[in-house]
Amino acid sequence: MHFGLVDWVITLASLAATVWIGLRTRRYVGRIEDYLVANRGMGVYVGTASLVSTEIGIITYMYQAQFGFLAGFSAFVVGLITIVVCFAVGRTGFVITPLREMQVMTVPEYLERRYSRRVRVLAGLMMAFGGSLNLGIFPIIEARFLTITAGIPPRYVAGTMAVLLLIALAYTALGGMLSLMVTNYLQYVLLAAGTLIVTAACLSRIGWSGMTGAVREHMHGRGLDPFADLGVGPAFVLWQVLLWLAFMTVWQSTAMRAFSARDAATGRKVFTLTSVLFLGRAVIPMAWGIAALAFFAGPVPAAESRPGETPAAEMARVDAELATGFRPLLEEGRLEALLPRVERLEALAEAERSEPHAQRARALREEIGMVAMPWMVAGLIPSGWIGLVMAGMLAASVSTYAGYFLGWSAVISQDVVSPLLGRELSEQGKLRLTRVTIVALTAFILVWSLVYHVPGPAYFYLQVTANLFMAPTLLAIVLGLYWRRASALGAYACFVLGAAASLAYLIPGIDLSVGAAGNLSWGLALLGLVAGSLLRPGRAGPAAARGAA
Amino acid sequence: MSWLVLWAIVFYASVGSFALVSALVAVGGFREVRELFQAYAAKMRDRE
Repeated sequence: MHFGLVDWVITLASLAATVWIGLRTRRYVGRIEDYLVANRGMGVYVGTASLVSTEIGIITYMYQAQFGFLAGFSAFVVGLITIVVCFAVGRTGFVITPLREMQVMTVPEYLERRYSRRVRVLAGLMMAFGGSLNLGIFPIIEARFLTITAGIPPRYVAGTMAVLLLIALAYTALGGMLSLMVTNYLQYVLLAAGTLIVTAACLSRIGWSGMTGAVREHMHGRGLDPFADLGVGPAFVLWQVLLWLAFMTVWQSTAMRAFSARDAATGRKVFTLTSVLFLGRAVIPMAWGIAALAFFAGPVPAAESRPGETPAAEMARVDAELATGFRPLLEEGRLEALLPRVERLEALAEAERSEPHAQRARALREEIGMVAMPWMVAGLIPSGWIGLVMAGMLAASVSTYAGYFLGWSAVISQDVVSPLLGRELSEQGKLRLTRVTIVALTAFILVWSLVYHVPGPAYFYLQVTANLFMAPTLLAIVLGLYWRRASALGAYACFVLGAAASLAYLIPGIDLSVGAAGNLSWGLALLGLVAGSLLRPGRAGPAAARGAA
Repeated sequence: MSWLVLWAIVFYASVGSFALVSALVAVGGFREVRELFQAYAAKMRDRE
């Protein structure tokens, strides 16, 4: 462990600078439009920095690295999908341009103009629910990164989480989007520097050949062909294309950047520039995950059986050893001692066709995959440099919390609470309501993070909770814009059916692959929208379809 | 082209473009932040 005094000084100074700048912007915020969309004054470069730093947090590095650790280079296919979709949205202005031109502040606001107030509230509820579940696992995963790399004892994980959340809460609740844009710029510079430092260390110490060697030796023929691996089949690829399309257009924190842009053209330029950075957002941390596999699995020999021991007896022994020894070794970061045993259990379970043992081995590998990257960073980066990396990672983390707090609280306050109150709030009332919602949201995710156990890879959990509302929202907006018969009844059916299919993945006992759940969600949402609209067609003229009030 | 060659190209392209665009954002963003604050400061003066 190399985290020394100089690293703490760099880390704390960067945090203090961010909070100070964030708080200074408070005096400029007078109206809800200043607060939520920075009075629509965002330029291309600040917009890009703000969008990317919101969408890159420690959580992003953690789940992408875990995905790389588990799927090898096959995971890179997600990066390719991201750049293609983001670039296409940026060039065409698909959905983001009409929404920006309507001057809405939240995505569900359009749904009220097009369908009805109740559709807006339902969409807001779904977004608030899915978004909070999604955000709810961030703190516990991020705190693990921080405690491992900074050498903080595991018992302080909850405290570390709380401090992180409070920092983001302080300046977001007070300064809103303006504070976010300015702090995001500083945070982007720090996180980009941290990202490049870790990548350089991986390449110099492990190298591309070390990474390819690890995939060949330890992934049993998998890890190269995305169409043959880890559920990354055609269904998965199709779902990812749809999901990223929705993410780029109707994900509240992303869409808010388009709404905050000076004009629609600036919004499109931000998305085009962001597409390049989003390729790195996926591929670079996935490569760190592969480097972590090489770092821990490379130097140790495979576990072997004892003389005279039957495969079934060996499987039972290895399983029992892991049951007692796994947790302490994981917490000490001795992954080089764990990996050979888990690999041996996987091989024996496959040979003996024991599904319970195979499932257990898979779960253990997923757990190792979640912490392998931070343990590698702690072991690889020297003192001084690791302080800079930590500053970058904390910047990434705090900017993500801040962006998501603002995004989801805007939806809860503007699209759920405010319409249900049935009267127009004053500017100060709206600001107060949004700030109170941010505080409540912070409390919720702190509790959720402590009580919920993520099923399967975190990457899948995050995408399914997002899919829960993104599939119906995008369909309701696109068909609302381009299909005159789309009606409120269709929109209700779309949201209910789309969300139900995604939730099925999270319910224990329902055996549904992530790709199937994702595609089913899109299919049912479309079916609901079309069937409901045909049953009771809407009577929207062209102006209403474009969201005219 | 093998999968490995494709992934090597994707990886190095992503690292290179990330570094390049980040430098662009750092330089261009500094100017925009300054302009943003100047605009808000002017608006504050007008309000007073």
